[in-house]
Amino acid sequence: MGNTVTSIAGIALGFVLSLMIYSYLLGDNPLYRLAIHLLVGLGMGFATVVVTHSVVIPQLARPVMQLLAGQNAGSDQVAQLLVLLLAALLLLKLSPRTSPLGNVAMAFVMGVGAAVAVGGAVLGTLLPQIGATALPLLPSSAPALVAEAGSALNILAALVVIAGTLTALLYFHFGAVPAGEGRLKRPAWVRAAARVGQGFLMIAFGSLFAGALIASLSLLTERIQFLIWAPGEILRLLAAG
Amino acid sequence: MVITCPDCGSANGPQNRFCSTCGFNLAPKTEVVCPQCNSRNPATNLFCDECGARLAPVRPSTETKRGESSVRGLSLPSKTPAADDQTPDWLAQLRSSYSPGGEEESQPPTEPGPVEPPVDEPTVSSDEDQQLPAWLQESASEPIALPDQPTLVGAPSPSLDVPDWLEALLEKEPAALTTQDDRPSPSSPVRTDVWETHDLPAREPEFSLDDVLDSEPAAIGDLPDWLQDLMRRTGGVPGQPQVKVPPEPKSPSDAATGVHEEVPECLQEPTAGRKPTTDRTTAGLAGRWREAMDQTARRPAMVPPSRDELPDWLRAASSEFSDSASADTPLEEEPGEFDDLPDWLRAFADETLVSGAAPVPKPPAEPLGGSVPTDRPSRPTQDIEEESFDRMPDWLEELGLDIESTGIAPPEPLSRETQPAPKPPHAGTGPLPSQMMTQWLGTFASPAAAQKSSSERPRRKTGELPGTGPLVPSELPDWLAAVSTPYDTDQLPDWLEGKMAEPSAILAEGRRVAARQPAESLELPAWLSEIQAELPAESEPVAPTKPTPPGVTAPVVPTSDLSAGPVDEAAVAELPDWLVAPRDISEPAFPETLGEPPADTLGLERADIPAWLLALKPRETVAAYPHDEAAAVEFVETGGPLHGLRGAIPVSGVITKTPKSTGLPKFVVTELQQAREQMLDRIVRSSAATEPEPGVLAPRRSGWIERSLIPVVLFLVVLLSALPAVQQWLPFSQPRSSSTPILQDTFDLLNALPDSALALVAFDYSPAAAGELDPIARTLVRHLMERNARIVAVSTVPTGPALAERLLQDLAETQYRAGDNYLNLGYVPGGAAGLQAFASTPWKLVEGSPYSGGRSPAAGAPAATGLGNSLQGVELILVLTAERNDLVAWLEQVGQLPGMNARIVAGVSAGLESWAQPYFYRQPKQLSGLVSGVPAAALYDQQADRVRTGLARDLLTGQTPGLLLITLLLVAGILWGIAASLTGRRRAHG
Repeated sequence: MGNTVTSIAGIALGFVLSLMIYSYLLGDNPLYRLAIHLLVGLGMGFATVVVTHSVVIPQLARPVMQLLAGQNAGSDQVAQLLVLLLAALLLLKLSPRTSPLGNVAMAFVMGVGAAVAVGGAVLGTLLPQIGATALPLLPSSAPALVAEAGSALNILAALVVIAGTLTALLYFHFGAVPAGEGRLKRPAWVRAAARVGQGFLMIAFGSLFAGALIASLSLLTERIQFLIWAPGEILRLLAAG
Repeated sequence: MVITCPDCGSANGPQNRFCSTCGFNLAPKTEVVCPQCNSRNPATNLFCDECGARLAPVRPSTETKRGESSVRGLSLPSKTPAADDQTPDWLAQLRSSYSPGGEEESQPPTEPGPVEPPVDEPTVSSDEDQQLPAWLQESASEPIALPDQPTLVGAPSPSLDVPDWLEALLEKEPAALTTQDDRPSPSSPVRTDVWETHDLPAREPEFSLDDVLDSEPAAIGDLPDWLQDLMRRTGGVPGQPQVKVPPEPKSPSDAATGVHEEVPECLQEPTAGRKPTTDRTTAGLAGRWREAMDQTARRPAMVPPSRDELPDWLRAASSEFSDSASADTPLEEEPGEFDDLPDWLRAFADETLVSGAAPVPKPPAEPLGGSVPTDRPSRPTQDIEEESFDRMPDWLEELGLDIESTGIAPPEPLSRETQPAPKPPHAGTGPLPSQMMTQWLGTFASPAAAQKSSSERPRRKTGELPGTGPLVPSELPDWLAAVSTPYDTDQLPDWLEGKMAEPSAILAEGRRVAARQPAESLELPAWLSEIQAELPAESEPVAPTKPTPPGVTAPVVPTSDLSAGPVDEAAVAELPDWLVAPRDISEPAFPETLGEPPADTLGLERADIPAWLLALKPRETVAAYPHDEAAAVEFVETGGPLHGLRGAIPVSGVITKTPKSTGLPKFVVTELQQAREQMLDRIVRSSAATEPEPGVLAPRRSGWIERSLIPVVLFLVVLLSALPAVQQWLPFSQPRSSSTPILQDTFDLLNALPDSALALVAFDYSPAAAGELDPIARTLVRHLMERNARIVAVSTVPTGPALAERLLQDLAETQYRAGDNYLNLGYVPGGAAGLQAFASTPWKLVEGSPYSGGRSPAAGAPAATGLGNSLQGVELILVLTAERNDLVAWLEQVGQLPGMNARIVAGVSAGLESWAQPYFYRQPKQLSGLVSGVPAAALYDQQADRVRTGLARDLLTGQTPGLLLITLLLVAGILWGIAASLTGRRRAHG
């Protein structure tokens, strides 16, 4: 019974909020804004609860309480105290007067995050992608590529990828030389390569747009199906009782 | 030489005129000797400290009434006056009459009347003469010829007959009189007038023989010595015995020649036999005068002209004169007529009357040289007082007859504006006959006599020409009237016009003359002589140069006095009004205080601040500085580096007392300003609404089609296609039979998982993307469950664990239980860094998660078996996300960890397909499988033979019509754009 009511309430609430969001098709209105506020508020509230129960309590409060209670005193608890101190300093950023005191914690967070992100990007994306692009052109890799693919199509694909990558990079090359009369022009070959790279970029953007459009259309379809399904489900639950 | 400041005691250089520390005036000040008591007074004294006598002349004022015998001019003595025993008789007489009690009285300075006796004695003893400096003795022996000076100097001509009144006087007192040489000599009692002999401005005589002759018919014994001497030289004094006067050693011609050597050329011209010049210069005027006088003298008998020949003014005067003469009444004095006389003169006259001296007998009318008829009638004094004296001075009246006879036109009557005030009557004098003409006038007849008279005549009270009254233009002779008429410049001589036009030049001339004065000759102190010698010409005292009229003796002004400012003013004060007036006009008076001259004197005009600017002016934002200039100048700094400076601005009053600003007044916008603002707004709006240029496409306006129609149509299409009844009729409701290589590889990977393989599923999407990712997640998770894999769910998104729990619970109905077959570890905080930490120590981050049910590796979780301190036991990592960063974070932070053996499969949104494929196509693969979007999920279901059970297919059936519609709209839009572009170009070219 409880689950049924919860389900009915959840489905009904979802139904109403979906209609309120789609009311934006008729223009900005309070229903749309109310739904947006509920979405943001509930999402932040839900996130706060999750973080509190998943991080603050188990990862910070509980070890500190154990440390204060004299249980499991070790290096990990000391480190957690350090984390607690940094978190407390980070809270000082709320006040302009004490904001400088939180710079240490903020610097620690930003520094660690930047270092992890840069390291991961270089090792996980940049170098592997550069290698993947350049390897087909290497003499040592070309036979294998041909052997694996079994056709010149793979080689052509590799060449297209290389050409696309280089020309796209040249498109963002803004170096120029004097062309007389005070004008500056990029070299002719750069301009030609940039034009090719512009074509690759347009294809890439078209692909991204198509993917975003399909994703959006999928969400629309799912929501419309929900709206079609929800009343019947509610009636069914109510009937089931 | 160092000059110590008497005020502050600081040392100053000899060139300093003001103290460099306190600004005290360091100019040397000479002492002034009181002419009354001979006591020395500071130069700044206006009155004597001992007797109260006035030491400085009264500055002429325009308010002074004519007729008042204002105290004008004072010649400060350059020498100590002689002792009482050396005082001449006439001066002693004057003093005694002035002070009946024998005591000197101090007279109020403002009252006209008794003025200090002449400071320059009429005669100078030989001792004094020896005290004269060499230059002065030299100048006295050799009169300086003044080329530009109109002064007619000369000794009385021997041909000049002795007047009758003098003869009568001589008959009464035939005392022996000595004669002296007419020409001045070093031994002669000549007090050389510095002003006169050095081209200094004309100074009216302080005392003259005419005064005595006009006012005092006293006996010869009452006359001063100098007058007696003069009488002896002129042939006798009335009432005094005639004294044999030795004949003049020189003949008239010789005397004249001798005089001509000394007189300027302008005066020598007539006597040189030249034709009288007709120019209007002083030389010409003087020449004509002299020529007329000579003719008069040579004329055997003067025939009075007929009345018809006389001008009107002279005719009227002549009639009055004749009328008064016909009455033939003795000259009587009226008590009241002495009221207008100065006290000293009145006392003098009273004394004369009291002494029983008969009034001056009416001398026989005798012209110069005896040409005037002796039967000239006298006239009553009263009549003269009431009629004749008001318009015609006696001397000029008498002269007018002679002038008429000589053919020289008398001066034109002055206009009403320039008519002087009624002249006070003569004291006890009647109309003087022509032979009683003033001596200075008589000098025209003989330059030698004039020179002598100018040098020997006692100083007359300044401000008075011959006659007792002040100088009036009507009394002036032609040449002087011409010069004295400031508005008739045509009659001015050239040299005087230049002087008049350029007063500064006159002053400069005075300085130049003063500079020529030997300092030692004036008995200057040694220190003053040194200073004066060092002073530049510009710093010399200003001594205005004025022409000296004949008979007008300028007073002696010591050089020491010239160096002081007040003395300059005094010298100027002695100038007649007609000479002072132009000076006042040309030289505006500057304030005494130092500083910038008034703006009006610089030709500047004070501008007015406009009202609108005044409205914006802040209100008294600074302390009001005391604008009392006097107080500011008197303020002396008492401390700091500015100690001792005078006139410093008190800093404390400006800085520390700054009041608070009251702010700007409220700015009121007027109607005019509002109208202008509206006009400007219209201009801006009209310029913004201008039509686009030809060939440029106008910006597209979003219409109702784009905002409403297309969404509504799309909504209806998707809605209809979502209806199950409609789906079965749709041609694309059935999935494609073939799969893509990527889906095939992904399916094969999952399908190759061993039994109870540990799969880590990351639900990194939010509820907003659940509509797209839930079908994908269901497809892949179901496949894992079908492969009996242990599923451990984590999420880097706070809302992910809830979605994972709901999906797992929804799929677990197929005999999958939480903890045993799957475990939701919950939220992994920290983003990329958290993933790296999770990959290193998975349980440490997710321990105690509410979704795990309190389970931990220690507590035992079959679903998490093998998930120790790393992810090395994980066979597959399935990343479900709609965000590129989440996918890349798993690939970069977890997939690149050393020892990572898990394959990574991504179930992402359709929009991430382009971002995820490079990781899939890279060799070796970073991403082992990829399912992107609902279409791929539907194909995956078809591949797994779950066509009718998968949620993806339902979504795909519903979105395909909508996708088709969108594609059609896109194509239509592209075609429309191309057509519009072509049309626009054609319009631009056409």
